[in-house]
Amino acid sequence: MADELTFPSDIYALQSQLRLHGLDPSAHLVQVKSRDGKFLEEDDIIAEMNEDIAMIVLPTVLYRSGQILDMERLTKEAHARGIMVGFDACHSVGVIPHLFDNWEVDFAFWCNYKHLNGGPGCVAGLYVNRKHFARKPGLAGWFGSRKDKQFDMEHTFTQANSAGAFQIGTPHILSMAPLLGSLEMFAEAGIEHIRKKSLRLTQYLMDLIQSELMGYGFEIGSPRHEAKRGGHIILEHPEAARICKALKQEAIIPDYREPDMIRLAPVALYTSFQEVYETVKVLKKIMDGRLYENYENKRGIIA
Amino acid sequence: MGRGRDLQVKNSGLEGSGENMDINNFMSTKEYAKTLDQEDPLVSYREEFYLNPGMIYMDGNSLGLLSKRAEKSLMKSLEDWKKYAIDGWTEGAEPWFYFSERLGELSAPLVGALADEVIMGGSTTANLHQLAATFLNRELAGIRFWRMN
Ligand SMILES: Cc1ncc(COP(=O)(O)O)c(C=O)c1O
Repeated sequence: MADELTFPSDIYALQSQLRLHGLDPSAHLVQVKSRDGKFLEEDDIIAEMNEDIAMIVLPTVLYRSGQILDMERLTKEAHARGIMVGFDACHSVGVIPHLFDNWEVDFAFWCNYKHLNGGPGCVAGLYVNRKHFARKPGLAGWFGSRKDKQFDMEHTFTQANSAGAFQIGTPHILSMAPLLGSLEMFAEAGIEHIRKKSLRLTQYLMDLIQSELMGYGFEIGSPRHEAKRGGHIILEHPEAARICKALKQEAIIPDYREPDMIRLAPVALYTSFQEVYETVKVLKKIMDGRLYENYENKRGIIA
Repeated sequence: MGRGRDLQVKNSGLEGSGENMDINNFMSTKEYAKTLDQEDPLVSYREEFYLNPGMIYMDGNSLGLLSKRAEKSLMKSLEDWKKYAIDGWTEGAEPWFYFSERLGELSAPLVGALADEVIMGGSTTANLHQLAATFLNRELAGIRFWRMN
């Protein structure tokens, strides 16, 4: 089971895994529906947890609206029904604290090139709860071996007694090396402090939007409530694609997401409140001067 | 310019009005933004990043910016390659043979995991493939999805 708002790559992966089992994804992958196309209700997810569900993969934070799912509650409910739960933590790692072990989340994965600043194509993260260390990796390789056994070169796989067992081949050293320096900063600053500033930044951004951008047809597409709000804000507008182009022209780098979303992520470690102020001021200028009309309302290849 | 609490912009957010923030003296002035920066305990980290002058980067959740410390640790691994060649796997600033485990250990607090529950490697989608291949199988996931046939 997954949800209908999740990142497409996760769905493709799950569909192909089902196919490898000889199962038709259109019948065997359940995608929980969103009531409004933006948010998910935990109650709706739980309502779908029936005896036909074997495994659930959900985002920690939705990549568009930025909604945080109640991971603890969902994990508890799934386990009560004997279902495995895993999370895609791409948009939450480095922004909000997590308690995966405490909540007994079965597994999780995430990228390190977003909030963790590991660089383009940085290697990813993988978490497996201790109680699953004895499981055989579905995709095994020699780097999943016990360190002292790996170079024995035996044809019997002796897996590491850790999440390391789920490694496959030789690690991409140069694509992970930047993380070392970056993680040091997270340890030093403390994730609680980072979360606190991130909330202040997003709250400030929303306050400014409300005070300065009224009457231009914008809609805030992110949760107002702190406990539900991740590290970015979605601003919806029918002209979003070309408003983003106009912003770029003004040296402000937003992100456009289909079909009508401007995604703004003020980052705790390097975005200043004055930059947030400036961003909204420029948005106002773009709307007042209809500067977006100089562009086509279509995205480029990426954004 | 005034207080921004009136919901003039249509708000489709979930419950709550965001009133629970500690920024409750909101003012839409530039001075207020400056005050917030002055009060920011993390402000010094900004200097550790390569920021393009004149550019405001609001896309850190697609690709985060390069920090000087990240650059330095990358250069160290390059130096180790230069100096130790094959022996870089076990020698040097950060022996490569244990690098994934080491980064896993350092990331564990960010996800609330034990040090050995996290490993760095592969890519996001590839890791999901690994996990789905591990957790979705007949013996381990039970007989559930076969029953649906
Ligand atoms: C939520 C989410 N999941 C998965 C992915 C895919 O990650 P990768 O391309 O590193 O496999 C992304 C990429 O942006 C993402 O945002």
